[in-house]
Amino acid sequence: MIATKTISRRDFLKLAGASAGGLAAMAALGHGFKTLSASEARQQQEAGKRVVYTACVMCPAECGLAVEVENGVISNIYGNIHVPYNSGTVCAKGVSGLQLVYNVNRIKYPMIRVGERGEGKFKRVSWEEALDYIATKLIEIKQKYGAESVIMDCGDVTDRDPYYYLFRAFGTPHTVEHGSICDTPRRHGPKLMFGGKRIEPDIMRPVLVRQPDGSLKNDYSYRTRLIIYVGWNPFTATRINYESRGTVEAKLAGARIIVIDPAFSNTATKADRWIPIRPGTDADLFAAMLRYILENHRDDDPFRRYIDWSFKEYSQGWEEFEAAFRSWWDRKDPLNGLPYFSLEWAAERTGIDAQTIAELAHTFGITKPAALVWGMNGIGHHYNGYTASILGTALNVITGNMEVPGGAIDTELVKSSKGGKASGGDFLKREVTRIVNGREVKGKIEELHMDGYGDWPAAWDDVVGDYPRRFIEGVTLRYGPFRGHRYPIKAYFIRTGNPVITGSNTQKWIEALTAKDETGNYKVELVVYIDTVFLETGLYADVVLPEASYMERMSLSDIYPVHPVLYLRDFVIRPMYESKTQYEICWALARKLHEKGDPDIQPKDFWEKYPTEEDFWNEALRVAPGRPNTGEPLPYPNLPKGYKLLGTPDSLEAGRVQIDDEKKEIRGEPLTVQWLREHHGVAVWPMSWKRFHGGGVLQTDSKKVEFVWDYTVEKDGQVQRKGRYAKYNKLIEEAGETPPSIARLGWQKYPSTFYWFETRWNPYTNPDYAKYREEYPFQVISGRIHHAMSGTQMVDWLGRLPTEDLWMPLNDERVVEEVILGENGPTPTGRRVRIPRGTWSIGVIQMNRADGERLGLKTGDLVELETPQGFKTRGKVVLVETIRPGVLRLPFGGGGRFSPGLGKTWAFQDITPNHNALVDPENLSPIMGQPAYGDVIVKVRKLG
Amino acid sequence: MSRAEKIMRGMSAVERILWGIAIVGLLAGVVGLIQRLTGGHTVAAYNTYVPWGLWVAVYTTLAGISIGAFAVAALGEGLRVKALQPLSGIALFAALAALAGGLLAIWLDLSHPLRFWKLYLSTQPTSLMAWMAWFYLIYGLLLLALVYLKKAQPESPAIRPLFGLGLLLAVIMGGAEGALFGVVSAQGLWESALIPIRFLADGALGGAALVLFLSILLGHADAEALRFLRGLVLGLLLFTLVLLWAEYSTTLYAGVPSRVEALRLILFGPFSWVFWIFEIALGLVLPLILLLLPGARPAVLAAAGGLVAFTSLSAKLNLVIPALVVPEFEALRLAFTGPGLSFDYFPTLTEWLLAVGIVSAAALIFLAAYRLIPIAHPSHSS
Amino acid sequence: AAQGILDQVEAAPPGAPVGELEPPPELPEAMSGQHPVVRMMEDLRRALQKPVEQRRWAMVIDLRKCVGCYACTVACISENKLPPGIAYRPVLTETRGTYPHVSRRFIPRPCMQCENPPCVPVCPVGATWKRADGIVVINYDQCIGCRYCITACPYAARSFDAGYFYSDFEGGQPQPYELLPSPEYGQGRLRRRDASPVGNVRKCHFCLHRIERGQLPACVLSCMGRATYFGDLNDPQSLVAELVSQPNVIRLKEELGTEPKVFYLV
Ligand SMILES: Nc1nc2c(c(=O)[nH]1)N[C@H]1C(S)=C(S)[C@@H](COP(=O)(O)OP(=O)(O)OC[C@H]3O[C@@H](n4cnc5c(=O)[nH]c(N)nc54)[C@H](O)[C@@H]3O)O[C@H]1N2
Ligand SMILES: Nc1nc2c(c(=O)[nH]1)N[C@H]1C(S)=C(S)[C@@H](COP(=O)(O)OP(=O)(O)OC[C@H]3O[C@@H](n4cnc5c(=O)[nH]c(N)nc54)[C@H](O)[C@@H]3O)O[C@H]1N2
Ligand code: SF4
Ligand code: SF4
Ligand code: SF4
Ligand code: SF4
Ligand code: SF4
Ligand SMILES: [Mo]
Repeated sequence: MIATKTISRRDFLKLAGASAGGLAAMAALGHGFKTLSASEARQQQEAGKRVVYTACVMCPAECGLAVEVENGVISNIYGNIHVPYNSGTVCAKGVSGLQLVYNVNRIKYPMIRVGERGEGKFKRVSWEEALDYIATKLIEIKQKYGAESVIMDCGDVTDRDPYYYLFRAFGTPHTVEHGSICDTPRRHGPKLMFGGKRIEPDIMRPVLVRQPDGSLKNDYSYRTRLIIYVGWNPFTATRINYESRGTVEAKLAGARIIVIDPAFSNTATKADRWIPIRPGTDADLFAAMLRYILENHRDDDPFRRYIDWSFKEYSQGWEEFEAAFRSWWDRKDPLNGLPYFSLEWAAERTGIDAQTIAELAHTFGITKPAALVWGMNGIGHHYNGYTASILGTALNVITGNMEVPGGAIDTELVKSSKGGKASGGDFLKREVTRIVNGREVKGKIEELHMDGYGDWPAAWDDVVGDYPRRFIEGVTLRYGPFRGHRYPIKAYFIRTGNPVITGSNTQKWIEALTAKDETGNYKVELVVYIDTVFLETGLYADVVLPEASYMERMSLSDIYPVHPVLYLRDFVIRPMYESKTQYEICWALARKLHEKGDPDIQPKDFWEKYPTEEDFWNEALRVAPGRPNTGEPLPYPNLPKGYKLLGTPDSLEAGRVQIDDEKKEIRGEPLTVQWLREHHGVAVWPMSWKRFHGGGVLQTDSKKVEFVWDYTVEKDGQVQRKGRYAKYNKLIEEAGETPPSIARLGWQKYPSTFYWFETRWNPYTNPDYAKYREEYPFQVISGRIHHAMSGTQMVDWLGRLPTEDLWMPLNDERVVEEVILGENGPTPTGRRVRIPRGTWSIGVIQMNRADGERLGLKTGDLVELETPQGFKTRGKVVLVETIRPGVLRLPFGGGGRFSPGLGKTWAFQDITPNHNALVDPENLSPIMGQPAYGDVIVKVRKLG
Repeated sequence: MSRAEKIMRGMSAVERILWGIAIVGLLAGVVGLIQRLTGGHTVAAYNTYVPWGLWVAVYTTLAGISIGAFAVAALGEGLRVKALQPLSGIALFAALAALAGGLLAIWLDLSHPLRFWKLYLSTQPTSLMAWMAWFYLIYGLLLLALVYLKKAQPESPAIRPLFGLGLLLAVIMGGAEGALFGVVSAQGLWESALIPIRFLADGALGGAALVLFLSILLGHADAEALRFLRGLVLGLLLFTLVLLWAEYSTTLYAGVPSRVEALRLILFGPFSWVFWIFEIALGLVLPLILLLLPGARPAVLAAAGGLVAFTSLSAKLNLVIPALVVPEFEALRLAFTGPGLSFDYFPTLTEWLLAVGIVSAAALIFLAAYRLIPIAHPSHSS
Repeated sequence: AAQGILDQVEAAPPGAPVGELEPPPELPEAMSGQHPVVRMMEDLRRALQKPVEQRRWAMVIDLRKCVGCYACTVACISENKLPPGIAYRPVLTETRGTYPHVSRRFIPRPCMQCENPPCVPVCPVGATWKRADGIVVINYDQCIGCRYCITACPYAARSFDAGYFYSDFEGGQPQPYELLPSPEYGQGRLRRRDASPVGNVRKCHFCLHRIERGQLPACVLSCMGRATYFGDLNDPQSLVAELVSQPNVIRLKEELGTEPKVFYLV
């Protein structure tokens, strides 16, 4: 007989879920419960077991999960096989989720700062007190400066609709996701040319496809012949979950895989060819590929028929684009005297030989179907990522690869819609009045936006990277009705984001969050940190609020499948400690604001309209899938083609629909939380291809692929400005003022077609920086590890795994005075914890062996990196063959971590590198204000 | 005069010093024991990758010494080697004490020590370790029986055959103990036919050296015994040297990578000083020189014996540990980390304390037996 | 307001009742082929209908598809409630070459469930043995913790449970998940410092508790590269039998004659 203690399920639930959380439950386990036999024990265990379908958010891939809960405690996290996006798989981070949920360093109670910002001194308060404090401050700020002085930044976790809804209702246009700090340059091409975002290979399998006989079947076949991943490492940076299995499956099915990355990433390990490019030169490579294709294409030679001219049927403006592109060919690059975009020119700049580039261009041109795919770091994190993104998009289009089976798919255009009215977009249209230069002006709330009508008019994602400057300097609007209006930023809400570590230069963020005015008050009067765990930004907050973890709240997934798939994030366990869901936090704050007389917060918009959490999310589901019935094979052949689909898959399938010919909408039964729960948590609508060809999914003005971005059309005798940049150029023309960011490039306004400019801090491509080559011989880039951004480094299991050559168990032996997040903030526990040598992975500096040996370094040596601006960080080098000489690679989020909420990772902050300690805070890329994380050069000095 | 006082009075200064040292050592061991009992196995450095450490080395050393010491006694009593007969009592006690210490070491090394009885009630015959358990039981009983007989019926006819039987058992056991390692084909360095022979030779050497040391120290050795023991230890030292050379040279020539790697670690690794200083310099070369010194005084011979006996642990450390610290797959080092997932092994303070305690306990057993059971003490021997 | 919903959530469907096989998921019909998970679960069901001695469980790991994500390593830890310092299935990384000609392989290493397991005969008390279906198991109540079997395994597939808790390194208070009963061998043991399996040797058991319920091993289900397969080698129709018949199959340390039942495709 095995002695096993038991505890009734009810008791357990009470203890583990509702009250003080799992810890109490565990304390209870120690006491005298009945002893069970093995079979009884097993039955007991099984009886208390249930499975909940939900969505992961350990990283932004947000995979579908089937979570096993035992007696109220999460016991296992499996992939939900009914979600084709991950098809039953789950990554190491996903499985480790329970260690985030049950982390000792969770924020357990609301807290208010008692020391100075950054000191980390807090006191526990009740929700009532915390919300009262916040509401009072908000109303004061609104009265004094206007609601636009408030920013609600929802960081990297996408299920933020309640916050958007509340803060838009409150009256601020500044409701943001991680916005510009992620990958805006990378998305730029698809955004300009398709109205989309992310081009991914057609390798999500299974996909649900309409058969000739009318049935729907799962397709498991891979048709892709070639995938080129540029600065994109999906095997480690798992954002697109299916690329892990899809890439290797496609390869076994005959596809060639090429990876272009300065480092031998995990993805490169499975490539037929790894091309170690010089950082920041991907645009150069793409330009040379396009030039090669244009110069060598022959309609009549099957071995050189690169271009599939049918793209002209669903695009416009190619001629202008091509002409602008060709106009560079005769010019000589001042740095190397070679004609732009020639093979030799590109070879000189990228460090890849001309022959390889020619081969690459040829291979891409001739192999179909193919997909050219690029990532955040390769392209998104460089000053000139826009040009690369535009060229890459053009390459995918002209070779006929977009939307063909096995080709490339812009997932943004085909995923299910969600949010709708629950995002609060309607509030932004409200009219408000401001006194600008003594004049009373009326306009819409959205026209108060600090980017769109300020320094970054074309930034369709908010420029978070520029917040520090504006915290200090305030905002001046340059465009629109409120031109000339000045306002300070007075309140900064940061929810599930950690910009101090992630949002460009760390020191700059700290400076901005602690800047004081003449009277000695903080410039940003109110900083509220809302999260589940306690990261660095929390140290600078006035109020800290515990948000329910992703296992304790409800919302919807936000993912990048190749056809509409939508699933539910559901309550798996009850919120632990005093944490609350987004809905609860927002509704409670709304009530407070209302009580205190905020006129913009109306019961009819909040508790009267959405009395329960489920009502709110049902509203968000109402717009799903929201994509047209288009492509081949037509998803619903019995329903009108081209009409927008709304409603559950089964109602559409069965034809239980209303057809609105005026709005061109097919309305089935609306998708609801309940429906999802009854269907393994997921709704899957059919896949089709060629969705560009008949208009369909494209979101541009012309509903075609646009190679021109500011053009005119005549409609009903009227001349209209169209194209993605047209709106901003009109603003610029009206105001007669060029945004400073593009003025720096010598532009007056946004170009109407192909453009080119050089990246900064790159001595190999930009003549202004060539002088640094000798003294600062290393370029510094970053890469993902088996952690999600800066938010999971306290998770034990993930600290035990090495990643590539970036995150390795190279810790020295330490005995640490333990500090954990207590009810009054970081608190020493009095325990001394020994972390033996070599048992905990820490961030390291990946360096080419030859470089290291030349500098007299060996693996494990501590070095300091210093930029020309004097920014420094330090860490241990790891000498390897897996990186291009002259390049150093640091883990993103893996070093210099100074929040005690990070446990063992925190203990090694002094020997681990923070990439963002080095980034130039002024180096925001010109169109979207993306911090150019990847444009950093340093010299290396050995310490000790 | 009480009995205790009497006993005290009979003690020589040397004996008292030995008692003192052993008691201090035992106290240290108690500290180690408390740590072991409260901290389980987290207080030790052996782990998943290096599952055996200092305590196993102590166990094999003491078991070997027991066999060697017993052999000396058996030579005297069983095979009637005259010169050794006066020493048989000491040798027997040494064998008993070393066995007790060895078994204590391995018992504490078990992570479920209270289940040791399973070794007897569910013996798995395919396991050499199971066989060893039985051997030790029989051997231990035999030792006790001999002690009893020697005290109660010194003239019993059973003594001689028992010694003979014991000797046979000792030889088998020494070999089997070696085979326990030798059959593990997973560990390059162990998988060798030479290992059982080395075990025997090491044991005989350690035991003989210990008897040499103790008999001089306690003043039992007459000139003849000394001459014999000196020759015996010398011979065994030379034999060990040959064996070592044979083993290392064949291993290096054969070039099986994991074995070569383990040897490389022994010879040049971070703990190569254990080999060069303890095993070779102090354990082999210096004793050889001392024993070969013409006209060496007993103190010098005692020193030689003591050196051999007390450094014999190093040979066992070098047998047990280097083989284990070579990863089965090199990539395991970084594959997954955590407490206990390390290929570096160095005993923790707890392990040292407990080891000292175990040896001290053995010493106390010896000293107590020596003092209380009148078969070895000069005043009792007639 | 959320209360109603939470109550509903707590009433969420339980897994399959005790003693019943979990049915393969109902996925839409396939145009051709089948979802590998569904196929393997069907293979499992067929195998479970046979007497235990006619099953030969085997695992196939396609190294061409392993992306080195460690999902399997952690999935196994979570599944079996393993303490710090124990991983039944680490992933070995082997890097070769000099820049720019480098290659890297990821080799997950569960227990090989050797046909001739060297770890078994050395056990002095018969606490570990090969089951009729080929899985090498350990009786935690029988094991005396001598660790001899660890030294005997050529694959380092056996781990010593020294008795660590995650909370030893964080917070000092037991964490809820580490006090859940471990499902290993269907025994539902709660982790305590003074009770087995603390002090025992532990190893991968092909998730016996799962396969006997018709579920795939946790590492197989989670695998990001869909690189791991599981099933009954004795069943010629099974996916693993099909894969093992390919010419590109290797086994680790084949020369030892241990006859592993973990096969690698290269
Ligand atoms: N495990 C994990 N997964 C994640 C995340 C995470 O933090 N952890 N974060 C998620 C998020 S928010 C994002 S945006 C994505 C990011 O996804 P990725 O962009 O794929 O991830 P990174 O590792 O940042 O960068 C990919 C590769 O770019 C290379 N690189 C750097 N500079 C250059 C360059 O100039 N040119 C080229 N060609 N390559 C370069 C790096 O060496 C790296 O291997 O991942 C998502 N998924
Ligand atoms: N040097 C450098 N800088 C970079 C990058 C780089 O590659 N190099 N990458 C950039 C990119 S691509 C991005 S997207 C940004 C990301 O940067 P951020 O948007 O700041 O993201 P993080 O804060 O790091 O991570 C996600 C947050 O989610 C929280 N979280 C996780 N789970 C839960 C939960 O269940 N509930 C709640 N409430 N919170 C949860 C975590 O605590 C954490 O605060 O960083 C950018 N910065
Ligand atoms: S890829 Fe991201 S979302 Fe998916 S399981 Fe892993 S961490 Fe979770
Ligand atoms: S791999 Fe090791 S533990 Fe597993 S059966 Fe084989 S010898 Fe035993
Ligand atoms: S550790 Fe346990 S299973 Fe292994 S050999 Fe010893 S008793 Fe047997
Ligand atoms: S089969 Fe089960 S026990 Fe074995 S490695 Fe996989 S998950 Fe772990
Ligand atoms: S989960 Fe699959 S792909 Fe990932 S490391 Fe394990 S075997 Fe490889
Ligand atoms: Mo991102």
